[in-house]
Amino acid sequence: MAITDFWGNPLDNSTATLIGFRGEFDEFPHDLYSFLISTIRDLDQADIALLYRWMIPMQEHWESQYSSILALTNLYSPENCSTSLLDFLRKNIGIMDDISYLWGVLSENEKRRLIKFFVRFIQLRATGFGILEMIETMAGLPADILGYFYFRFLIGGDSDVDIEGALGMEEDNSDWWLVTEDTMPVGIVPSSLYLFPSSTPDVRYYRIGIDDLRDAVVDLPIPNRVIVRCLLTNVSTFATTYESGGKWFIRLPDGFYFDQTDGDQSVSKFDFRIAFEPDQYVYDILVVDDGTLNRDMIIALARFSRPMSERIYIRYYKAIDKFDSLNRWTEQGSGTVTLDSDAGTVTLSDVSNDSIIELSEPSDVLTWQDYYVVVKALVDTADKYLEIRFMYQDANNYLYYRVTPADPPTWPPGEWKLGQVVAGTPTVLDSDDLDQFDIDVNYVWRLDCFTSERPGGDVQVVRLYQDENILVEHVIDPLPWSSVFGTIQLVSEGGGGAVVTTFRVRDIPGESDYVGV
Amino acid sequence: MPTANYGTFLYGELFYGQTSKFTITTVVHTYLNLRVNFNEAAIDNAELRDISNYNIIVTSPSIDYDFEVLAVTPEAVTNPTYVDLMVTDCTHGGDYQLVITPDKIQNVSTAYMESGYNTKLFTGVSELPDVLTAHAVSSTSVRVTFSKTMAVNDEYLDPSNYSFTGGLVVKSVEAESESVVLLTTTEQEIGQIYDLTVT
Repeated sequence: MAITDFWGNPLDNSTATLIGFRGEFDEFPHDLYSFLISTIRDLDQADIALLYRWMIPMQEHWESQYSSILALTNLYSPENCSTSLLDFLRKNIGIMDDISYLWGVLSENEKRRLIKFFVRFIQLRATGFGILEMIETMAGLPADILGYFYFRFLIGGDSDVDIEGALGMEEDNSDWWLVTEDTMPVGIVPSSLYLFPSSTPDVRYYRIGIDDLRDAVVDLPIPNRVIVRCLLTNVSTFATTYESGGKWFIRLPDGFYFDQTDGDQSVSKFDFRIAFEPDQYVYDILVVDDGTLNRDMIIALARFSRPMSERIYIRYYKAIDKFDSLNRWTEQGSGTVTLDSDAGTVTLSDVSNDSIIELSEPSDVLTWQDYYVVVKALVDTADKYLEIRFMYQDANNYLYYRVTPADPPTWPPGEWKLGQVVAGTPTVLDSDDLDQFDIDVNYVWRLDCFTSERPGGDVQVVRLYQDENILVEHVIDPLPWSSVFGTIQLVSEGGGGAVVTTFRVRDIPGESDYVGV
Repeated sequence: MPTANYGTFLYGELFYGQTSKFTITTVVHTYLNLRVNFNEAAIDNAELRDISNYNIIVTSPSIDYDFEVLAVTPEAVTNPTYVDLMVTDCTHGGDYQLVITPDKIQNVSTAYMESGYNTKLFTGVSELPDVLTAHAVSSTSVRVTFSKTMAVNDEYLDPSNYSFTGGLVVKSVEAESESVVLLTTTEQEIGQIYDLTVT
């Protein structure tokens, strides 16, 4: 059987020609075909579109040429040029071989970025703002920069060792506070202290261990100058670091007892403080390394931007938040949280409820083992606390560092507490008065949290600091929850208020790079 | 040549030898038209133009359809010698018989066309259908248009009855109407020319 019409008649002409589908005719943006008058086009399309198909090669040739014309600007576009042209482009703007140490460590995308922004980098070179912009632009990660005078100002002097007698910290020329403790510049406690006899009769010497301080010193140049001060006598001396058996120590002059009586020398490490590179020619670049950071690039950028004779420590952080957004945080409870992205602050303040923000990236936090947390904040209401909750598992299981200002002119001006909440039961582990705590003044609150790798076994250690001065080193009992890690909450007590300016988290020991001579 | 019309005689019907009856001489069938020639001029009246007086019987083939008269157009003279019947389509080469209802139409002598003189056999004439166009409506579908109303049956919808050159394969057939089918094909190559053959 075959196909027939309704009356059984077979097909006479049973063939036809088909042209493979080619979409709509009007798709060409510069259609040569449209130059034909419409009647011809209509006839052509009604037939087999011979004219149309005849013009296709010409059309395609035109489009090819036209796209080539448009692509000319790509030759000098750092975003769009071919990889092979990057070497020419970089020389056009002055990235010559004398900074090959920088160019050579960059990925292709980083090279494109450097070419695009190099002129601005040159303009802002060696300024704090410029260094920060350069690091953040090239790395795409949060960064901060801390210089000597950002932290400190001189109040007095110590003519014996030619160092400052007291140091302070200021903001906006008005919001200032002391960062010294008993005239010691920096309150870093040694990790160990030994007293050894020497070959000279009645002469002994100190050896101070610094191997597990908050900043690992493995990147320090050898020898590295430090200042050591004994708090009992307020006597300081310069000393140098050295490595022995894979550990780091400070060698003090033989027979130097910090004006202590021979034979009655202190053997407590808490009687001493150490300052590394304590001068104004050192600054820190803080940058987040989320695993994608090109550290060689950061080192090269620091070297590129370094003013003569200045030394730079590059500190790698887990998190740096200057509060231009609250993306990393979630609000908890019904308290009030107000972000001021222009000022870079978040205000926790509510008349009846606790105001709480919680770090909302637990996947990051959970990987933190030994870490420190820095929170720069002010409290604006007497008798209402600011609390940093850490190792936060849930509402019934966490540790906290709480500071509460007193109502002036009450003495002492405030108190701190270290506590824990386990299975809903709160316990104060330690507490004491604060010597300094003024309402509406910024302080740097810091806690070190060790959960492993501590000398002495598996104890867990927490250190609390105010303005880098240690308040306590407390050994806590092993915590009952299976994971000792957790997230972090910042809490302002209901009826009070706190303004948080900076938040940083870093591993202990921290990883650093050094750019010096 | 004038035809003797004895019927007009006063005694016509009794007159011996009157053998000329009003009848159909020939039927000429062209596509959609059937010309019926009479042996005498007819009276152009309502009966002559009444389509119900003309019937066509399908003798063969035995296909179930009506072969209908749609309109009657007499010769454009006062006394026409033929009428043109507009008819529906039919099977080319089929056998048909025209039957004019007896005693309805008259010649100029007022004699009716009587039974026994009112039929004529003829052979059907039709135009065979053509494949008019094959148009790609997408990269995998082709619309095929026929010139006539087709029999929508299994053959019409059988993909094996549609074949392309160039390796293009018909996967299915959908009837969009009695004269249009939509073929689903494998992927066409842009601008490639394929020849369709319908069997």
